[in-house]
Amino acid sequence: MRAVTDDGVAIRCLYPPDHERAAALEIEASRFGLAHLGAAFGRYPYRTLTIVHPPTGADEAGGMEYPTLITTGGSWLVGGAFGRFVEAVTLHELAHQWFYGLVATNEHRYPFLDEGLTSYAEADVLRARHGAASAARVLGLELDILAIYRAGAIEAGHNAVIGQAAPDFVQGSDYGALVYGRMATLVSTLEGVYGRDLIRGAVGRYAREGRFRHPGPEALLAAVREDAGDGAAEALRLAVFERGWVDYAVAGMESYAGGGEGPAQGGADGGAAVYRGHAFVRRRGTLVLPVDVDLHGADGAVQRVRWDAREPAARLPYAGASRLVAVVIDPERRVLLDEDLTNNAAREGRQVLAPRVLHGASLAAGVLLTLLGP
Amino acid sequence: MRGAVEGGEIDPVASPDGGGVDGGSPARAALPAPRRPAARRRPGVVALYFAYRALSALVLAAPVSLFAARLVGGHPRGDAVLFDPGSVMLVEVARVAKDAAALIAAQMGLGALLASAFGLIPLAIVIVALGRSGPLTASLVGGRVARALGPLTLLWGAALAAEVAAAALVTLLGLKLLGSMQLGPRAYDVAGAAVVLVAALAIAAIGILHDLARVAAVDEQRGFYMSASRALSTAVSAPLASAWAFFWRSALAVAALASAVGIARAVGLSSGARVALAFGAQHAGIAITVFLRVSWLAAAMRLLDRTREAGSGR
Repeated sequence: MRAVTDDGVAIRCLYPPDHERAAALEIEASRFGLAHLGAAFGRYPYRTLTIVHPPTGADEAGGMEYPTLITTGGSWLVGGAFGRFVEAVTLHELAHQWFYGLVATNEHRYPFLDEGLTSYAEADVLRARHGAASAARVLGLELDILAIYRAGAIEAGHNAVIGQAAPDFVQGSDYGALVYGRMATLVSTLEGVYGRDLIRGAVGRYAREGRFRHPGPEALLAAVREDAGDGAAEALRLAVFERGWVDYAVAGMESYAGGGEGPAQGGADGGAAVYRGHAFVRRRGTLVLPVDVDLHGADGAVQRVRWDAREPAARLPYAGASRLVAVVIDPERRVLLDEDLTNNAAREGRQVLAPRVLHGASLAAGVLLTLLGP
Repeated sequence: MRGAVEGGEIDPVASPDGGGVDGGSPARAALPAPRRPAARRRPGVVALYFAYRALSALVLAAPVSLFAARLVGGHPRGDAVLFDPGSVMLVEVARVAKDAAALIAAQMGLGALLASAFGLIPLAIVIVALGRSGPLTASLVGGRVARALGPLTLLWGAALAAEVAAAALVTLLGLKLLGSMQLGPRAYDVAGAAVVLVAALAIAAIGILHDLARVAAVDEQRGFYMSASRALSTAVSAPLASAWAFFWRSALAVAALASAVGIARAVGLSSGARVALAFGAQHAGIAITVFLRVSWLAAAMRLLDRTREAGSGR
């Protein structure tokens, strides 16, 4: 199966019998990926791209990259419950054309510059193609590839340093979770905190300047520092070389009428405030990443404040027309590297029973009893 | 009153084949009109059976819901955050809960086992009620249910064992056969799906026999062996009627449950009202499956009656 991109790159896919749909998907994903990755990290310079989908029994040959040639893998039955595995493998190997291929880093010494940035680029393309359903869309649920990368990245976060040489990883699982997953999660976190354009631009600058060269980590740090600032570069360095981590948590809240001195000065919305109070928030860990904090009033009004998170704990002032009833740190979940997302919110009268979960689980139980019960 | 006409119907225990535990009643001589048991004539027991199913499902689901609420119940949007695009919080809760997952799964498995075991009681009540018309007394129902519980439990265990054995045998033999054939990936997967379908049909066939035997055990008050024998002879004498009566109702039940899932998806779970609507659709789906289940049991009763009548020369 063959195709030619708008830029004149001839794509050829070699596949075993029955895999026509997978081959077509791989070519389509590659066309999209070449355009998307080319725009972000510099144009693909070659005239050809060969995709090899190994047959059943030769699966270990899949998921490999060489200049102008990649191998993929996966079932003939693409999509559905199988998620986007075929696309993910294809785009991951394609991204290797840039990270280790065109930007010829030392894969052995700094695998995070190879597999880590490739995983970040893979997630970037998958999100561009499928949005929040970048990993799968099953039963109406949208699953993001970074949600999956993040889960492994958090689990292994304290096990080892991301930025070490490949043989220094004691376990292969740590290598996978840290070099692939945590690096992708880290760069995406920096995008969320400092701006996608800035961080993606910085990685793009690093890729363009390092093209046909052998850059090291300092080149990536310099590009991030130049485009996104010292804070972003320091966070990157800490996270890569010193097991940097972070966990935000809501420690509590309080509000009271009037504040004892008459009505408050005014809420964030400009209206007269009659309630004052505080949200108590904490940051554990070594990474200093500023975050948004939402303060919810009892009347439904939401005030968003920016917390620079330089101190490990803070008391954020609240002034509003009603009581402060809930606090949410990082409501848009930009800091994917946050170790525990379940302590990022607190509210008065917390839910005791999760109704949506009860619905789903009882429906599943009902089906189970229908099948197996008397 | 056993063995005599109750509520205008003859007690099936007084069956002419004498297989009942207390056959030989004088009432046998009076041949009444054939019974026409039907689910629609017993809305009360259908409701009882629905209540058992719905309550069991909620009880089984409650630990998961409580656990999820402990993790995300502090969010102003509650567990709605679990279903946000990208499912970051859903994956996070799964990650945090992984240590508790085995415990919850074990609890749910045990709960499902208990719900199935205790479910034999409402099932027996349904069968008793289907077998007669008019009001039911607690002593009558209780007595017949109590006498049937032993055979019902034995039948349940035997059917489970037979279903597992049949599924394993069909699957293993099927996969071994497929392995010996030179099939491409697509053909192999399609053939594998066919093997799974055959295994499912084998399980369904055992399920049909199981239900026929259950009806015989309760309605005719027979023991384990005689119930199984009656089920087998009924299925052999009316295989198509048995299969048809079972499968069209099963197909409708699957459609009802799929519709409940589809409605829940279409409605979404973004607000309390929508969640309530989804719950309503879910319970409507369960109610339909329960009605169809009771309808199938009534059909099984008619099939058993027919073979008994044929056997007695009526």
